[in-house]
Amino acid sequence: MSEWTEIVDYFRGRSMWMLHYCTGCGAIELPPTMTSRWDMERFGITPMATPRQADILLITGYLAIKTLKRVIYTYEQMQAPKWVLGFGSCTINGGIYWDSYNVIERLDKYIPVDIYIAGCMPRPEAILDAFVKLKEMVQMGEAKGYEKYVKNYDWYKANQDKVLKRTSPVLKEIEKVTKIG
Amino acid sequence: MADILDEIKSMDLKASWLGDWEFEVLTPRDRLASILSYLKSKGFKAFMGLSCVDWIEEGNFELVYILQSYDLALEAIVKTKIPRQRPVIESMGTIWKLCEVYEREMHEFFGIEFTGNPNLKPFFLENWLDIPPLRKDFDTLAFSEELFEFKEDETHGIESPKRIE
Amino acid sequence: MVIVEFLIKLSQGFGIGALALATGLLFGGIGRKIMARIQRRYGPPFTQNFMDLFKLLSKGSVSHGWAFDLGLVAGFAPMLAALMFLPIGPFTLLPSDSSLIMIVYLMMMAYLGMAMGVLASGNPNSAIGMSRALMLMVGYEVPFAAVIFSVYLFSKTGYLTQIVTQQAGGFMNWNIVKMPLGFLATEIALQGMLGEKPFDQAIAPAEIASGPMVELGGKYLGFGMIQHSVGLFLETGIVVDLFLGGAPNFWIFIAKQFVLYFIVILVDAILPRLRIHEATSFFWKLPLFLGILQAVIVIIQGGVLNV
Repeated sequence: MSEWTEIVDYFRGRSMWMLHYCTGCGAIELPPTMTSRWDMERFGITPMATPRQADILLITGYLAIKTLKRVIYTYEQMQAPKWVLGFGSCTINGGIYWDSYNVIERLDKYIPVDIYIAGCMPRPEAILDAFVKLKEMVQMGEAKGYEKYVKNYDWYKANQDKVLKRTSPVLKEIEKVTKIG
Repeated sequence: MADILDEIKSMDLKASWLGDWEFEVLTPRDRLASILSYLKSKGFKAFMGLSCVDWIEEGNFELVYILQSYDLALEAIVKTKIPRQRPVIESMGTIWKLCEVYEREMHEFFGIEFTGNPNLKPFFLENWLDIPPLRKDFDTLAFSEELFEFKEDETHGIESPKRIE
Repeated sequence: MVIVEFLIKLSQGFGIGALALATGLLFGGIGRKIMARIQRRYGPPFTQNFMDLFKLLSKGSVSHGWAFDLGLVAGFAPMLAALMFLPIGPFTLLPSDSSLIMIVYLMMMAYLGMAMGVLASGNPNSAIGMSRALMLMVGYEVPFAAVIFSVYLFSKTGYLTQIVTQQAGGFMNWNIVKMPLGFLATEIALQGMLGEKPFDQAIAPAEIASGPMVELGGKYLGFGMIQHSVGLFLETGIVVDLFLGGAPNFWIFIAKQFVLYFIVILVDAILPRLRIHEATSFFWKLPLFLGILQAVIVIIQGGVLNV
């Protein structure tokens, strides 16, 4: 049985279809990665149109509260062996939006991220490096973010709800921060 | 071209050139509608945008209306101030319908009420319960630390679940 | 004895299905490689489609109700049935019944079955994509029907096996020499049948999120890929039998199919996507004109020769 799992993991690593969620500026690094200069199709990575078909969710750049909701929908629509790549500083710690009122700081709190690509912006070489690294992790059976999400769903759901389903103002001491009246 | 500025000055308003192709007009809030429709009749038919500046020490919001004239190749910037304590002003949607969209945005980000605008529902922000975020007295860092748990150390002080086997 | 014969036929049928699938996947992989080389990329390995299919079948999947499942099966079964009547080289599983009309009819049924399936998912993109696919089918089936009409008139028979037999005896007996205009019309229609550019309106990935396949995931998408590969084998195979004189053995048959697919890939690589009404009206102009002209030529030739 374990041999069968190894075979399946091998082919999963060789054929990863990608859904790129391009909210931020990272989208501009993807066309050279896909086309003739860097050509990621030689690793079996192809852009796909819908979450149902995809294996990788590539999040390029910052996520506002509004887009976080859509990313979570997208992630949950994807089929079981699925991996998330956080792309750029914004997904790691907010990047230049670290003190923004509307941009989340750390993607790992809301959906499980298998690999982060640091940089602002990461070059296409870095993206390809991450893909190869992810391929190795998948083939070794190490990239299990989707199982982590299922088993720790309470923790992820609580974090998501804290941001998305606010029922009271976040800053409690309004009289202290406002000088109105 | 210069005679437009002279005419505006003759109406007891402060006006000055900002460059070769743009001038600004400072107007009290009760004469805003009349000066905007006057400029529109003089050729400034294109409404380019509405912006807002929070002068927190003065205790005023400054609304900035930007108009352009393609015929004269001029830009007109009309500014008016309203008090922060009671930020209410008439909607300019009767002059330019487009203005209502910008007013909706200003309502969301600065909390300004535009009387006569029927469409002041939330625009960009989802589920916003705090004070409007672009006011100067809104502490975005405190908000970010509270809601997104931003900490300036390596782990951000967040214990994520361990990798499962 | 009847049971033994039936079992032999059954196993041969499975064999043909597997062979068509493997060939279709291989063609797809080589096509991707050729496309990459045209775009000056290195391209994926030519076995990439096999790996993709294996991965898709190993993934989890979500169904959208019984009509969704049934529709995909109903889309695949007629294609498999049509394959049983196709003369592959010298071999035909059911030679007595290989009527051309029936094969074309079964191919059309496959699209209708697929339409039923993907529309059950309820996604508006799949509805748009499927309506485009059916619209396009209305486009390319008309010139293709004109070509089939000329072949009927020329060969005086409707059986593919006999059409292949009549073309035996060298290149000059092939229908491509006898009916060049008809072959041209068929080649254009084949571009539409395979859904390659400029006729890929049905699966426009950036426009309607891959159309009919928008809700297919995991095993369902793998099934769709199997269907596409078998369809590729079937459609190129029909053109080989109609115009390129069949083949003495299986390998030459595949080689001829590949030549056709190669032309399709080259056209696909250089042309952009047409809008759907442009595509349909194009099919009703140039290829239909060529098909009808071919039929008229065949009629005149037949009249002159007979008199």
